[in-house]
Amino acid sequence: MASEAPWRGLHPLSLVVNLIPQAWATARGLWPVLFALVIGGGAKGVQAIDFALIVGFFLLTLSRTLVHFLTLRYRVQAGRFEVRVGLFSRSARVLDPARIQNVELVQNLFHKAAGLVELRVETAGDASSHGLLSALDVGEAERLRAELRALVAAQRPAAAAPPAGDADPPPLLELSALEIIAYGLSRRTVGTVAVLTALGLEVFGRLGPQVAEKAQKAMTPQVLLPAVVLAFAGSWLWSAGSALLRHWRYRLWLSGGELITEEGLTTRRRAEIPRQKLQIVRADEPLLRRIMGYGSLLFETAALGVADGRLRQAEGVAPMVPLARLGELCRVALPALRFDPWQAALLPAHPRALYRAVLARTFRNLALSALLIGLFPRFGWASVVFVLAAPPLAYLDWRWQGWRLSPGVVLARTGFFTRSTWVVSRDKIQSVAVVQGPLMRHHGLGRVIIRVAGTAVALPDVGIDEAHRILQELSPEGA
Amino acid sequence: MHTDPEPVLAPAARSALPRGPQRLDPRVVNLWRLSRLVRWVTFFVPVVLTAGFFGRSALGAPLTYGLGAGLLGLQLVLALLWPALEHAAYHFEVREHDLLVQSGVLFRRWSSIPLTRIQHVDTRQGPLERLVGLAQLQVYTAAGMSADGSVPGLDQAEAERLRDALSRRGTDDGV
Repeated sequence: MASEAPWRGLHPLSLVVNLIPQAWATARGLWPVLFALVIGGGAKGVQAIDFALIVGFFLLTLSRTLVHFLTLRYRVQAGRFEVRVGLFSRSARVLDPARIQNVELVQNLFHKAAGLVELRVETAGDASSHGLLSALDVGEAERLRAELRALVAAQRPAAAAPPAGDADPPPLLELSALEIIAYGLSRRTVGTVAVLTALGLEVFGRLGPQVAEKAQKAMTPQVLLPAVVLAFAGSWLWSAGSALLRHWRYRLWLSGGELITEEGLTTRRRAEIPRQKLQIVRADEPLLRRIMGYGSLLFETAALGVADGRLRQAEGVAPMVPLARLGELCRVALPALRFDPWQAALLPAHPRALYRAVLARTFRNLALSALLIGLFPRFGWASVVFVLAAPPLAYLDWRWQGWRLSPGVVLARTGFFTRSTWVVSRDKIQSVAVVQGPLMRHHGLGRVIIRVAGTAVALPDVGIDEAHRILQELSPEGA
Repeated sequence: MHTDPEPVLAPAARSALPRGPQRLDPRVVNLWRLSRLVRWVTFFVPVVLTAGFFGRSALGAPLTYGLGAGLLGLQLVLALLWPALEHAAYHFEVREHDLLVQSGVLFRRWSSIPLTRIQHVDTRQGPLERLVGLAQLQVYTAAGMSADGSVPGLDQAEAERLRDALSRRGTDDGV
């Protein structure tokens, strides 16, 4: 009978390293109380309650950190990875290595200072491993990662084993600080400016009718224009700064069938993505980035895209890839892609799809214009230009749409200003559907929607017969 | 999409399933009518009456009553007629390698779900469905939290037969 592997635990310094994440988790759980604490006050006796709440909050954080350290145990037993945690509410997880999508090593400032690292093991549609193995000794994390990798390789003979030795192969892509700043500058910032504007309006609204009236009078074009420029400049600076934090010293390389990315200034993140788990590679080429001669690549597996409490776009990102290298890197990531999506001819969207695109964009811009006129009665009329620009913009978007089926992949491209190209591995398709609304039926159009784990990709609108032909070709009956 | 060269369903399971495109049990039409009528009584009537009560002063009594009666009448007609159209539009077929579902009157949808990708299959029965002996088949893949394919209005025994035949067979689920 095989001997039982011993259970292992977190590093004792996790008691320090985990304090802030646990405080954040506690704060998220107690947000109504903390919110009441912030906005409450004034009445007698409130100070004592506030004090008690703050002490309670810290005690809860401390006890959560302690319980996590004392109860989290993990081991590799009989070819499976086992984790158990919890005092009152206990959970035990047994993970089949075949289900592992990717393994990540994450190191924030506190980890770095303590010489520790967090190890995240991601499976399809599940992000609950985040924060579990939250503070391991670097050597122990490396050993566990190698152990898991060996288990995965044993279960998937097709997966190439990682090369022997510690030396990483030469990188496929490295980014300079300037390129990362350029990436930050080319990210969409209109949303941030809109949020800032809305916040500003809200603040003015709360300052009282006299101040609001004065502010409204002061909103002349001479004031508004510099304010907008300032808002955009601030937003760009913020975006460039956050890009530097996230992607500092970015490197991408291929090792033993795994795509590996390493990046980050304060939090160093290393993601290892087995190529056979990749289901989509997406290339984003927003206009500004395209003018700079770059695009971005996002590598998606079935792992749930959540990181640090936020929805994450993909498991791996190559923020700035020279346009000439997009096709090459796509093919490295997805060997089933046998052609260069930026050189090969794509099939166009149906001509009648242009009508729909023009209508949809015109209505959308009309709504935006009406909103702006309502918010700024004096200058909002200038937004009518958006309505007039809708048809040519819709044409540009429609003109650049394209799609193509090949034996290994499905390719879809949309957009002019924010152009995106999706390359979907046909091996990963979960289901295919054709949808048709009343307007589409009127124009004889249909839309093919391809679902993979956790996400869906729509091809440009095509004729309904063509849509059914694609459905048949992508279904196992037609393959 | 991944294709198994061999049929995915075992011969015994295959022979137990109907061949060719199938329609839903006709009893589902009255079931849908009943559930729409329940919604009409419990939701639309109170909402229209409340809106009429508060809108009467703005629009005037005749216009308010006319609009209210028109809306309620339209909802009632739709509740009686729409289920038959939905039933006519709904088809499903268990083929050698996939489940094909066609649905929708205004917004049409044709879905192909490979049998190898099915994670699990549920049958569900609400109180009204239990009353008439019907069940709903829900097919889940790794694509998301909601069911990828749903076939309502099946005879309970038929739904259970389909569920047992389609339940995951341990092949490549593509994730």
